[in-house]
Amino acid sequence: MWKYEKRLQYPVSIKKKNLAFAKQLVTQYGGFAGELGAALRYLNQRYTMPDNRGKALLTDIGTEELAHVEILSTMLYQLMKDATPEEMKAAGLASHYAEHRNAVYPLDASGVPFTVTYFATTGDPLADLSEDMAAEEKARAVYESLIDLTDDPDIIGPLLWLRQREIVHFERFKELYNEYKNKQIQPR
Amino acid sequence: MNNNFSYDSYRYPNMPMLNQNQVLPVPNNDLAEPYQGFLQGNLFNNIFQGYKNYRPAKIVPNNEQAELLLNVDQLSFAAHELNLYLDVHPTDQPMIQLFNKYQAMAQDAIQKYESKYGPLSVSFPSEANHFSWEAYAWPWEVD
Repeated sequence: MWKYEKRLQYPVSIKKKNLAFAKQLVTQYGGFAGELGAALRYLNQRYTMPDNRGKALLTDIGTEELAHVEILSTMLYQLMKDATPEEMKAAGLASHYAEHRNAVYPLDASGVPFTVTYFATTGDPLADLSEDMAAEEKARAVYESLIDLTDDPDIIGPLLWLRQREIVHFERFKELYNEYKNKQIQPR
Repeated sequence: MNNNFSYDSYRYPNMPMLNQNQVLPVPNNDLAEPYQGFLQGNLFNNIFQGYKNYRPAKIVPNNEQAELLLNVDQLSFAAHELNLYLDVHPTDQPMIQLFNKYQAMAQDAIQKYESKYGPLSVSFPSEANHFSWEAYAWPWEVD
């Protein structure tokens, strides 16, 4: 069961329309290291974790990733808000406009739609947690690249914050991985 | 609802005199206060990793609504950070105590916000003449 809270986990208020940056940023919504894949990865893997610690951690981080999907979607919505078809076309977003107008849609930076093959679930807790650690590192790296590509403080603030969350999640996954590895815990 | 604040205190990587790869100094105590932890996106100073010489954005509320919301955000964040920690370390008693404290403070902050500025969750009782959940702004909108 889930409950929605009518607030962002971290506030977003982008004042400057920036279609070129939206085209890059969208990868953290629907790309290989994006928040949508992260949420689905953890929420899908949690059922076969070998103890309650794994079930709790994957549930809670998976839930937080849904809040990050909302932060990314909000950023994209605000970056593209009120853009005219001409502006979308000039920014290389003609095909986005044709299919989605000014709506947000999970794609990567090259326009490839989100695919479920961005994440795996092996049923092996060590393999799954290794993937989760790698996923957090990849997302951190992409956030850094995106920060390098902008000088708008309204964009950098949330990106720095989201990047830091990857670091915390990596640490928690690593702690659990080490516990399972040391105790040679087997899947249930 | 979310544009009543401003970000402050950036330092950009092209500023002279700052080493772009420097590790940010952190306080000795491992646990940040809720406000600082929320701003830096990490309650645990010992695992905080800065990027280049960027500083976390300072969120400065410009009115009472933004201030009450910031209280909800920071206390909920602090409780959530301890939640993730306790998932992996479920018998750490001082952390359980702190979790209970932040959780209670967060609930209090939520009640204070909702009583003046509308529901944050649909379970909040609605006003009689118009469904409150629908009536107030959605968080992705900028006025």
